[in-house]
Amino acid sequence: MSLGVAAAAAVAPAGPPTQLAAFRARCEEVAGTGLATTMALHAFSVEHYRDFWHTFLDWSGLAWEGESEPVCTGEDVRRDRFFPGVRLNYAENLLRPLPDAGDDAAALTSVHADGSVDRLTRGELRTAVHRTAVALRGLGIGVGDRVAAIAPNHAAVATAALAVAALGATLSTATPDMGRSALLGRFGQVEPVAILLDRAGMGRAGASADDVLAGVLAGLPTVRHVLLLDDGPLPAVAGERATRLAALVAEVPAEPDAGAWPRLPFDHPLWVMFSSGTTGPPKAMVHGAGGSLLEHVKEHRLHGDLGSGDTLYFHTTTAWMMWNWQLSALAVGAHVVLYDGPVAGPETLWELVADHGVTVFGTSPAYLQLCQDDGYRPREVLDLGRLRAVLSTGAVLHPWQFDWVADAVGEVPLQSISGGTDIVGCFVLGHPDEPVRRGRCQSLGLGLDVAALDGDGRPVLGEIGELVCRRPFPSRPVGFLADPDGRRFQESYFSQHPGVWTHGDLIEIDPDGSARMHGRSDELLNVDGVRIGPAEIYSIVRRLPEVTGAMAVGQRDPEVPGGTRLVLLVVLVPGTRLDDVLRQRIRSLLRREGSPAHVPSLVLDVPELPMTHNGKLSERAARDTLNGDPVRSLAALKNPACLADIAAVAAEVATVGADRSGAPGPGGADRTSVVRRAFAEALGAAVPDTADFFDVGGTSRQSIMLLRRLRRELDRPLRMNTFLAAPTVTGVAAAMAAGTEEDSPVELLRAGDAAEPPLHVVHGNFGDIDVYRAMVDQLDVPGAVVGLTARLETPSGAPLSIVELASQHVATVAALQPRGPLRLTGFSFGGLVAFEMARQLTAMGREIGFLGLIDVQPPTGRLGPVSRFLHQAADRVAHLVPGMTRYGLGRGVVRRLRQRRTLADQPGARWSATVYNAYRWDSYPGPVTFFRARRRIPVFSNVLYAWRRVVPRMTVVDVPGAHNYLLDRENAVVLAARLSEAVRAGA
Amino acid sequence: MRVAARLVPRSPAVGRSHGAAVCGGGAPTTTAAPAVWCLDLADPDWDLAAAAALLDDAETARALRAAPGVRRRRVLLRAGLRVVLGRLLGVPAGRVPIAAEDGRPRLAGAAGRRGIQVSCSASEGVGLLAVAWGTPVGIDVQRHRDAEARAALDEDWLAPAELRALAGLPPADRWPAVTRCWTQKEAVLKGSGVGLRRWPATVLTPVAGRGRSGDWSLAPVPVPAGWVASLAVRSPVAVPEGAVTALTPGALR
Repeated sequence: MSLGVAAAAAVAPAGPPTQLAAFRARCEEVAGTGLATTMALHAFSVEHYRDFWHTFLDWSGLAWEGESEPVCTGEDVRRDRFFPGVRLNYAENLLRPLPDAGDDAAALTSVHADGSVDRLTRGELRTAVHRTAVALRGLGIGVGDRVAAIAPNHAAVATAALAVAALGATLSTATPDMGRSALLGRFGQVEPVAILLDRAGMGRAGASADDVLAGVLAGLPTVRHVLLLDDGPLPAVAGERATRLAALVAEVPAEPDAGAWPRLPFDHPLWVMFSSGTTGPPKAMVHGAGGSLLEHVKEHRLHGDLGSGDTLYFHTTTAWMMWNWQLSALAVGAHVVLYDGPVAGPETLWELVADHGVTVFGTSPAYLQLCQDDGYRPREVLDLGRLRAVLSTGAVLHPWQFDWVADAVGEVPLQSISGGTDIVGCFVLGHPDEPVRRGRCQSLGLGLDVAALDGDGRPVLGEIGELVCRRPFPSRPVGFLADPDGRRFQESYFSQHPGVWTHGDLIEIDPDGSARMHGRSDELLNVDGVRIGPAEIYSIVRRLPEVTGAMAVGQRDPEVPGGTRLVLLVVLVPGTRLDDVLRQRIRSLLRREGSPAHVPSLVLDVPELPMTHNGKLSERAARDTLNGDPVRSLAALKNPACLADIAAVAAEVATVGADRSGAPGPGGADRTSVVRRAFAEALGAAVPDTADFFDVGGTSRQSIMLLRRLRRELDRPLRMNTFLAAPTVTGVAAAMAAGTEEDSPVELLRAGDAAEPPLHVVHGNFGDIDVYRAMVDQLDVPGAVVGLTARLETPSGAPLSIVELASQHVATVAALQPRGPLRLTGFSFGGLVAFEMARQLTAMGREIGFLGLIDVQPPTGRLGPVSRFLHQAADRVAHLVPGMTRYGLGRGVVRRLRQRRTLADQPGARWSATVYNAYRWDSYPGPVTFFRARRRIPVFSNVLYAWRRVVPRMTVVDVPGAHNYLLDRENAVVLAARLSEAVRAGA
Repeated sequence: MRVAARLVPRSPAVGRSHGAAVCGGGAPTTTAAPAVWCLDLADPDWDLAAAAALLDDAETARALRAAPGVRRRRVLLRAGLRVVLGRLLGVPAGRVPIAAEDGRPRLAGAAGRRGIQVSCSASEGVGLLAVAWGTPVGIDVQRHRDAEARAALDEDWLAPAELRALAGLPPADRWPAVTRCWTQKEAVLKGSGVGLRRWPATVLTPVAGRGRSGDWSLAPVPVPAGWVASLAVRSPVAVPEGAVTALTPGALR
């Protein structure tokens, strides 16, 4: 091990070596090859998973006995088992003294709702667990027995839980607020011999805690002991069976010498955990001690770099697998903070983090959003100096939340992690070496052969697919309870893609191993054949400040048999009403940011969304309610009463027909009425068709709204210049009908020093300059920035060639700027036009001060047959390689739909590819700066050799991003900086 | 009371700067606060006919074709501008040479060449006039409503950096700050003479009352509660604090 550390230190002298670095060195010895990159190490960990897990078991220093061979009994994900010869005890591994976490090291800090705190050192905790185990054994509880715990997240239940594990019994946990049927739905299958019980928060209006307990006990005839953790009176309903656990423990000698904790087989049942199934009662999954321990220690040490210097607080309840996960942090020597109080406001958990010096804080997107919405900024009011990482799980973390954490919390990585109860761990995790990419999980779990499969079962990168795990892994459940033939287990994970674990989540993976989760796959909406992840809709709608919650549900369309219509449930801020204006804004936003398929048929304002006990939204419950089907897994819901409200709202709308407007755009049939309506909406009143917008009181801001509205409605840009030329209903309708821009094809994008030549930006392949907006925003050039726009075809519909388009612009530009050097730039299509303009202007005797080509591919008409083939192949490859194309599966479809719409409206674009490739270039002697996309398919799309043949004086500047998203806001910053430098250098 | 509204340069700084611009024509070494006047357009004492009599043909035509509320605003604001400039230039208000582009007025002829820059704005009863010497100036006033400010998040005229900064403000401050962003953008766009021909999202504002946006220095303008107003001056130094003079109906008499 010391060898590994030394090697890692030599490689990375900058900071203290991570545990991953030490482990990587060990793997490199085993593999006999370098595994320097994250993906190389991951590839090793799955392709040689036996070597990986064997090496990890060895390196981890866990306490076990027996034989570590065979590592796995076969290659079958469903059946084969890990380490059949290894015996261990989970509790022993969490509590044994560690070289850097001895008996005096902090183990648990249990913070209570009233602000009081219990603290236990590792030594104290081990003694407490030991004495509790002795007390439980005195009740006859031992190997093979099952114990249920109903308690909030505090040290008393953690201690008891470890005692149960120490004895080799099996534990299943739940929270007191779950209600009788939810508790029975879980524990009915467990058949526990004892219940550990803390009644804090148990019972609700109309049913006391003891009423609930009576109902639970009535359903659990196997229970022999009710062991109280709280201080309340002994529950009469439990009769003789009720005892205080503390009283039993008090009878045990301070240093009992009762024998060691038994080391049991690797797959010995440690926990029974639950996940709601699509049918029937919750799935009762049995997790083995070895698999759980190995997975957790792997995640904590390798992905979280967690160790004895760390204090972990992960906000969870005992009903969620993250409770078990955070408890396992004791095994790596970390100090674990528990909290059993409510989240009173955005400050609650951050104050906990600050007060207890938490170094790694785990939370959920919902809590981070609560803080953001409340304008709470922890870094300004608290000392978060020890905090080094924020983890989030439970739902999809939205990109803007990364900005918020960076801004309001500080420079700590926000690690989005995701997995599930089913594997009692995570498929995607943080990573100590990889940067955090906004909106993404940093890396795939080592040893887990995670892939995204498309609809045909093929692995895809950069697209949303079904999350699968293709090779055996240790934390697979041992099986289900009440599933003797294993059929339910088989159907749950292996029926969709034979031989691989199908998790039921949607994931999109990049070649760098980073990933983004997209919600549950059974909640994937299929609207008119377009697959939409519910999270996608939510992240769009959430931008409206009136909306605090949203859920997209695919309902059976009552009017189209077999069809599905999209229903959007929204929860609004108090005092806001869902009126037609807000409905329209929701639809417009979804149409613009999503696609026509994202626009709901129905928008319903509901008081609450159905949520599970784990705090996850249940689309399924809402869907069943809207469809009028019986709601399956009602017991899994925390707030089942909200379904009645949803049903009532839906029924009301169905009767009144309040919202069946859909969102059909005008098919070009009556533009004037669309324009008229848009005017009336922007101005708040209908106006005569010939009234000037500003004369009737229109303000500048209203004019912006009007233009945006028209653009959405008619899918066609209306330029401000055009609008200002005739700001009337008639004028706008005429301009949009003509589809022409009769006014100047020059658009001032940015004012600048009049003494400096402006930078001309040449339109994209739709004739407009919209794609450049983000880049122009960031440019730092002395002169003005002027956009050149064009119609791409003649009035009769014939396409204009690159040469013709360039001549038009040359005429315009030469007239506007009769003297001095000219500056030109363009991306892709626009770049080729700019290139031809430069040739023509040079021929006229004009000086070109700057010509910037932004990733302009050579037209294929000028390539030899081999080059052309490679070039076209690269195009196709780009669609398979994530990051090279802009959109994932869902978005890709959407984009194609969108393009079709745009093409129908704007025939010119149809020709652009043909026109582009037909261009026959010739040499250009002037200097050219070529901005090359850093992300490209190597060799295939190395296009520079072709350019150099015609441009001898070429300077190449690499810019971040792939071709299709060079101009996106995230990449535009660097591009704009490089472009500005180049312009200034040429001046 | 009418005397209070007498139109004289309000401070020695303004006077000096004015003189420098007239004599040398170069950029002033220090930036004077532009002079700002505020009109209560809803005041029933305004003599609309007298105001209209000051306008030239183009201004009259533009006023006449507007809806009544808009007409009143256009007449009073332009008449006010003429009165202010007339005093400064020493010519009758009706003879001040004013040209306009997209409704934005500027001093024409020799007076314009002397470096006097103007900007006007009005929103629901509050009108503002700004006059600066030697530096381009823009002013904008906007009636604030929370609901309209909230809607702005969906209108794409705020840049991501601004949205982030706004999201960090307490809710009570956030929505007025959105309106202030708008007035600052408008002020810069008016000052640069392009108006909405430039996309407002490309004018990055500091999400604070004072600060810079590119070449422009921004400052808040005190206006009645319920309105928000901003001043933009193209200047490397901050706009000095300047008071706002009330321009009352008596000014027309």
